[in-house]
Amino acid sequence: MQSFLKFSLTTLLLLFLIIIPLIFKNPYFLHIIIMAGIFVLLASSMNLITGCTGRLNLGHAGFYGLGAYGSTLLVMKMGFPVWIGMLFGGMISTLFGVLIGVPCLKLRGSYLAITTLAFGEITRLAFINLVELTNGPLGIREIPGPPPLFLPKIGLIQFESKIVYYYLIFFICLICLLIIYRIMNSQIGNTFIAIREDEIRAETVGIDTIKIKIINFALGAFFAGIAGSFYAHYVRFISPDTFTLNETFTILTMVVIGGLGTFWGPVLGGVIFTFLPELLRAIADYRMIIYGLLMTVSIIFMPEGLIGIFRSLRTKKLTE
Amino acid sequence: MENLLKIEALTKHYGGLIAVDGLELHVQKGEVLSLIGPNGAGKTTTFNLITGLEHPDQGRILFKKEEIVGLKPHEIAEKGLVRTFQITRVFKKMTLLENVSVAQHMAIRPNLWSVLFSQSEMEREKKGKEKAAEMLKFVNLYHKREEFASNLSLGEQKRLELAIALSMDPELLLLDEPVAGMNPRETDEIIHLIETIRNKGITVFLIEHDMKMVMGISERVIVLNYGKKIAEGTPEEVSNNPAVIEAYLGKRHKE
Amino acid sequence: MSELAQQIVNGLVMGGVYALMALGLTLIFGILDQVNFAHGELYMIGAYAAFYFLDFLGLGYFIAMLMAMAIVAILGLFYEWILFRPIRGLGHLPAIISSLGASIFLWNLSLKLFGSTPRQMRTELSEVTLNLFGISLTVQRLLVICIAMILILLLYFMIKKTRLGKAMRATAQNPEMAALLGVDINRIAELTFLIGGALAGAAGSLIGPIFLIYPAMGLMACLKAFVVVILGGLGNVIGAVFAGLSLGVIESLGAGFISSAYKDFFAFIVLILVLWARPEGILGKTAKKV
Repeated sequence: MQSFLKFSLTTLLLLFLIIIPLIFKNPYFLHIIIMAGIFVLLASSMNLITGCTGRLNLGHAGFYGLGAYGSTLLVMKMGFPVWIGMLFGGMISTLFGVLIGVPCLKLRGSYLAITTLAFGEITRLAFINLVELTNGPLGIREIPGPPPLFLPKIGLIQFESKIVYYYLIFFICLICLLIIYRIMNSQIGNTFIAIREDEIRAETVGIDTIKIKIINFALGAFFAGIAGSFYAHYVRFISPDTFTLNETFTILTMVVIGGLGTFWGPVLGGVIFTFLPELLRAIADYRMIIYGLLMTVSIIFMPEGLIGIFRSLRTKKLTE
Repeated sequence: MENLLKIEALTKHYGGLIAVDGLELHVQKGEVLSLIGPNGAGKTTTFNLITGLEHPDQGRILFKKEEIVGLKPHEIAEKGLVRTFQITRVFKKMTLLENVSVAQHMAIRPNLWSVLFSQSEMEREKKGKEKAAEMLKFVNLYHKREEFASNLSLGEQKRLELAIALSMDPELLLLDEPVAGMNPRETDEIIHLIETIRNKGITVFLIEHDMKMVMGISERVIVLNYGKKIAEGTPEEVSNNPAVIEAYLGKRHKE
Repeated sequence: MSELAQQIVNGLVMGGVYALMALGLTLIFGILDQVNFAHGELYMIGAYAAFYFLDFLGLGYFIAMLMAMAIVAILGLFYEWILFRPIRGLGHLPAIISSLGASIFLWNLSLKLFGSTPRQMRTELSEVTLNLFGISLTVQRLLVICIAMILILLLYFMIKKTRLGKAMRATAQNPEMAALLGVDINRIAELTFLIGGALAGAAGSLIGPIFLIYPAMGLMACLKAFVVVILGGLGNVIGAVFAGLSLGVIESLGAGFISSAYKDFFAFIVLILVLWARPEGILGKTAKKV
């Protein structure tokens, strides 16, 4: 009965998401939803590393940026077609995920946090300083969007309007989240949690923790990179300012408040914290202050996040 | 009788402290061997060295005639050498079923591709869950399979550890103080389980302080003191050995 | 040659500050097994506090510093009550996230309250330059070295010789045993944070007149303090002092002879190299118990 409920709710949600742009045509609103989609990907990818496996990665914005710059440079400097560039942007990010993941294998807790933070900052500084490649602090403008796509029965789709981009990110999120969902619920997903709970014990039950940790970092980097690639060809302008520590903190807030280690938590967190700044325009200056406060309050009073609260409400209902 | 495990000249020190000192022992296939000795004698260290959690300074450890020193813990587990822990280490935020299923890792051998696209992977995961359920039934914890491991009592946690270890199809099972802290009824349950395990052909090598259990269940006993073997033999031989009595009386220890 | 000596002395000045920062952090980690990501904000608030006492209240430098130390010590106390006590014993990740949230909160709050324009803390001491053995040093810099040494010695004395210090050491070694022997871990925690706060506050007040004060200064300082703690070994007080001084000197030499633009990088590079070779740090604690 319960899974039928879950299934129908999810289907309703999907239907709703599909018809949203037909109801709310305001381009600014659509832009917010598109950004929400990007952040859902970012939060979910960070969740794989930090939530499921318990390894705090404070350099996540670096992966985001590597995907963006990677795709942009492949397309604009090496003439890759945009679709290939976007995919390869994700792969470049994955490559760095492995490169960074390997020295971080033996690190835990705060050692890991500091080192990943260092890598994230070094990446950002590289974006700023490798001017011949990245145009430095001025950023790269006029990034091409995807070429027109021919779909049977629909015709030629130009990637100009927000509606088209919305469906693109919706599609990308759908695929990525399906993959993430399957991984989280599979044997590999269980090993992530085992490593978080007791890494040494995980080794003794036959888990090759080194291989799994590398896969974990690579996955997190890949999806963040895809988000970055999409961002580059949507906004069509990127600069090092987008991929800062604050961005990582924002993503972390989304994951923590949504629910570390859950599937829906980062999705919920991503949506909430993309819309919230818009609703609270008046106090935009205080955004990070509030995020910091929320992060601390959340981990102390609701360590399982909002999803955890929903769950405990539900189990309470079942036992009443 | 064939030697499943053979330890030669095993030595381990920490700074100036010698934990294991030129240890020699062997475990025969199919037997129940107990390792006893006063606290600090080096028993758990020996287990850690065997299972790859620590590396010896000198010596060899041969499992099924293969050298296993230097292998990683998961590689050693894959060869059929499985252990439980003295202070239970179950995965607290996972359910009992998940705790045992995750130990099916070696049987399932997942990788990214198979997890996403392979039908047989899903089959193996399903089988893994079934096997986990079986193991839980064997240790009488099936009724709690959806509960979080953190909710179990000590005795139940030890049984869960046993289920996890068994699900890995061990040839040699290393049990580190399986009944520590348990009441007589719980102890009897475990003893019964160990006997059933032995009857299935699994070799058992255990560390214990509970003398009644040791004497009742072991075919052979090895006594360790200060990292060295000081006695070896049947339970009767060992309990009458003056060196052993000296070791236990000469040192204050917790019972 | 005197160029080299000059760089080294400059390095020792920064090193003293790093050592003060790292001491607080390493004490918190060693005694309470918790990680304080908001440590840099203590330093930053110490600097601003000293600045305001000096500039607006016209107090003498030493008074300003002492008051800043007191304020930050109390802030440290609040850290313990609000950020760390509720989640003690739950592992490293909650403490990191909790203090990270506080760091983001305090840093951005300071940005709002104080503005992002850097301030300059002016004291008579930073104007006067001495010339010892061919090395030129402002009195302020000399003061940093002296006061840092004094505080470190005081701390050392306190830990080794007093009963409280003994209790702290016992808790660091074995919290359960310490509790059985009657040590109240909450009091020890409060004391640890008071001390850590005071040291960080001192570091901030000392550095204020030498460099500029700005809200984000806590971040970099915190990172470097972590590097020092990791290099010296988590919980290792003497290690923190040596590693702090060493890092200061390495940075100074690197900035002087290689490139000053990438000065901040040296800390990270050293960190990555050391962690690669020895994940426990150079003088780390002994291998973890299984």
